[in-house]
Amino acid sequence: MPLYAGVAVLFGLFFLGVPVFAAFFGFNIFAALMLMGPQMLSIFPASILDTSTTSELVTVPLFILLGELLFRSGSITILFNAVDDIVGRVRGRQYVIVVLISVLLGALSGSAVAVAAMLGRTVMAEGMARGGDKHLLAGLVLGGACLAPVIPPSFLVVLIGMLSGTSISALLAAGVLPGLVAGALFFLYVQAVLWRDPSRDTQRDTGRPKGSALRAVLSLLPFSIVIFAVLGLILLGIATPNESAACGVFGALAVAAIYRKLSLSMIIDSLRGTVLLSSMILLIMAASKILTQLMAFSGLTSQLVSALAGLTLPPVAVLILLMLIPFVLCMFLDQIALMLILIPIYTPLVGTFGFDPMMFWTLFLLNLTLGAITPPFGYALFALGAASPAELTLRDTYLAALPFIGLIIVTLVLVWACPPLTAWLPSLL
Amino acid sequence: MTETAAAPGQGAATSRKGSPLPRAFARIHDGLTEAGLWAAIAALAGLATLSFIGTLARYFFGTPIGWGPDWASYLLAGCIFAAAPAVTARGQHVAMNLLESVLNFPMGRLLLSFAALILTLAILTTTAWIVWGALRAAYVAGTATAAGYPIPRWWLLAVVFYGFASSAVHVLRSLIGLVATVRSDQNRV
Amino acid sequence: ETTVRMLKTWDSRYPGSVVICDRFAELLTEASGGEIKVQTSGPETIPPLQQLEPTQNGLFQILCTYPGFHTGSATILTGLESIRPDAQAFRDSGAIDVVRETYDALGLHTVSVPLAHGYAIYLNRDLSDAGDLSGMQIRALPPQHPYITAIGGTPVVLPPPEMFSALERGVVDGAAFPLAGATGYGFTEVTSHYFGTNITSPHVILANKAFWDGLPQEVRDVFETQASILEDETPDTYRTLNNQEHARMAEAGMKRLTLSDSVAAKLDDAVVKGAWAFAETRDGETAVRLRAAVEAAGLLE
Ligand code: NA
Ligand code: NA
Repeated sequence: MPLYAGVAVLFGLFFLGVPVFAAFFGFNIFAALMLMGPQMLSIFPASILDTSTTSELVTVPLFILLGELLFRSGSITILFNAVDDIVGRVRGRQYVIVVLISVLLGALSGSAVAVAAMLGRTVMAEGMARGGDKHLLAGLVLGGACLAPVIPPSFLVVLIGMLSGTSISALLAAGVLPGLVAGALFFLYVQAVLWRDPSRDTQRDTGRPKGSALRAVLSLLPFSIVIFAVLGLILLGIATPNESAACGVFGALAVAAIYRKLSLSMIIDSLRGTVLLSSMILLIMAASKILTQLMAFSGLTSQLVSALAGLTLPPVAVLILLMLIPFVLCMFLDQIALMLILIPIYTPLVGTFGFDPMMFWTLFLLNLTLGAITPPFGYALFALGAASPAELTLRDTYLAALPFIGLIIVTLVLVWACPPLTAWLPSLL
Repeated sequence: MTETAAAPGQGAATSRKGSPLPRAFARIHDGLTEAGLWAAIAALAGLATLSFIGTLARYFFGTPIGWGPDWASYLLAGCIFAAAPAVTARGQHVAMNLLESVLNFPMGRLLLSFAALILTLAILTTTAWIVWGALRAAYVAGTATAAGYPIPRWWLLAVVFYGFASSAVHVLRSLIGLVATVRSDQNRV
Repeated sequence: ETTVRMLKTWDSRYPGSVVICDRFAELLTEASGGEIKVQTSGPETIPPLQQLEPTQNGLFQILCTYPGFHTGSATILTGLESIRPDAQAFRDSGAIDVVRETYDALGLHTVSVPLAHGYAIYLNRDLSDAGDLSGMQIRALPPQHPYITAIGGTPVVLPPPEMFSALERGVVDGAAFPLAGATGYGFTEVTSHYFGTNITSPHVILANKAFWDGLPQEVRDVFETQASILEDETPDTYRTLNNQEHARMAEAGMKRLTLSDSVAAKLDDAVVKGAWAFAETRDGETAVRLRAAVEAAGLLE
């Protein structure tokens, strides 16, 4: 009964229009009082401090800042123009950039929320300015953000490897092909949509004379500084993922200087935008962390999982059930804390039912982030809705997410049906 | 769908019409909020610079900045909560006011905004009060952060408290603004 | 019948979670003939660095942890990193009374101080030509920095989640970490060499003071007897765990290094100095008394 009451409270607060973070806090207060009484409220401050000083979350503001600087320096416009000049008039080419950038940045960050926010600030804004279809653009961004934890480097993969006793490097390799398959599906979907309705493409003519391909490639050189600062420094063993985000910020400053857009007011505007957006996102994360702790304290999460795991069902049904749990729970709960609860319970089951660990954990990881882009509670949706131009409302992000949720589910089925997708690359190690 | 919890400037609008004391209070509160935002901007700039210089110092000079990561996380906390009142004042928290877009009669919308603001106020006040308790306890006990480079825990809790409490005041001002708008509309009729 | 809520700092990756925390719960239930039931929660309920407060507040009655996770409230137990893991000698030294004073002031009763051991330094290359860590950057917790510096290394601070990718890509050359459970944490995948140290890892089991004071004497006796049993068996348990871990490391192709006598002596010396210097940071006077007690009992030799 209290559980239903709690869910009713949460939905009630959401639908009344209480801000998301406050609605979560309201629910947490209610749940804490129901669970243990006022004593339970004492975990709130410590939990808030813990979340707001978590080192992984440092990347959220840094990535958003990187996006702000790139956008304000004109880098994104130059990028779009360059692709126009290099690729020519191929249908949906601008959307391809969105897919590429999403997958690339997804690779750089392990955080779907950070990527969604950063892309909302950059490619969403540029794509919409070019007359792109806002739903298609937002869907691509969310899809790309969803791939962030699967494509290396990824902190979440490391955590799975550590908790489940699976080889971390093999898991990282296992995620690459499914990530690329999902990217290809996104591309095909866009082509299909544009074939049916060409008006949803970005404007063909921006009134800009077509430049030479060589010049276009040259114009991309400064942009590659940023890519190098983020990805290169990690691969060369110069910086950790957190540090590389900070290096990327300074790379973006250098790019802005090269494009002659660097000024104190530009830097301050970028910082202000980043601070406001990060504060809003991280407040939601703090609230969701408390919710996860309360769930763990109540024993509800592990009871639920054990009950389902105890059912006698054919392996496929078990697999579907085991994947539904993180998908549904990740709509509400903090990914990392949820992993701490689920992975120890799941690890023996992988062996019991004879699932291939690479396939299983890759599916698990995709499901975790899928929860983050699924309406109505997905954090990446909130982040994108807030980071993107005002014409893209939160409800637009809901609509935009749906087809891409479908595409990722197709990817999940492919990963399950086609074992080499996750087995081949790890076998080369 | 709007992304507005406390509509920007509503509180300020009321105070302009109101008596001098609330007006002065509103001005001070708005000034404090902007100052908090600037502090958050400084914290973020510091955080990015610290991580960047830390990387260079370790890789090129073999002298890592030991306190860097701890201070980066303190700055992150400072950044989030010093900016929180400004987010509230600007109405930049995401909200899902689905009902509001369904209701198309003004009175219904008004009641809805009223309910949302009251609930938000209650939640933020309660949270601020909970944090205040922890802040006092940490101050009295002299607890530090469990880090290699500790700072008093109450420093951080003070910023968290400020974030919630000042946000609550912004919501309260919006609520007063809403009531004042309704009153003046009635007077006109 | 008493149901006790116990909070643990670790998830299942760390063996101490099982052989110290779960083991103590099991001992209590057995010795009480099922009268004492223990309900355990882990770091998913309360994050590791925030666990002292909910125990002080009585949300949990028992906390099973490592003193490094609450250095913001008490640091004295860090000094014990320098002692021999000898449970009997430690109890006879009376040191526990000094420890109890510190935690009593925090509203916590010290139930047990099990002395685990086995701390290693993992490297992604061999020792320097000098046979030490010269020219290497080693990830370590700040209280352990003097240990690294003493044998030529440069200590680096990295948050735990970044440690593994940093080791893998060579951002750092090594890391200090407990031996038991190292394979499970993934060290064999990101490093190639390691050597053991004489660092002891004091664990601590704390009870909420009001809860403890409210217990009937016979229940407290059960806690105390079982605490002694746990303390006595812990060094042996860790000897077994460490041997198993050495075997697993060898199987995974890890090369076990041995420090030369002179380098090892430098390290041992630094562990004593560093551990007590850090122990004194919050309450110097008490740490000095704790050191005197263990030193008199010959535990520093
Ligand atoms: Na990634
Ligand atoms: Na928007």
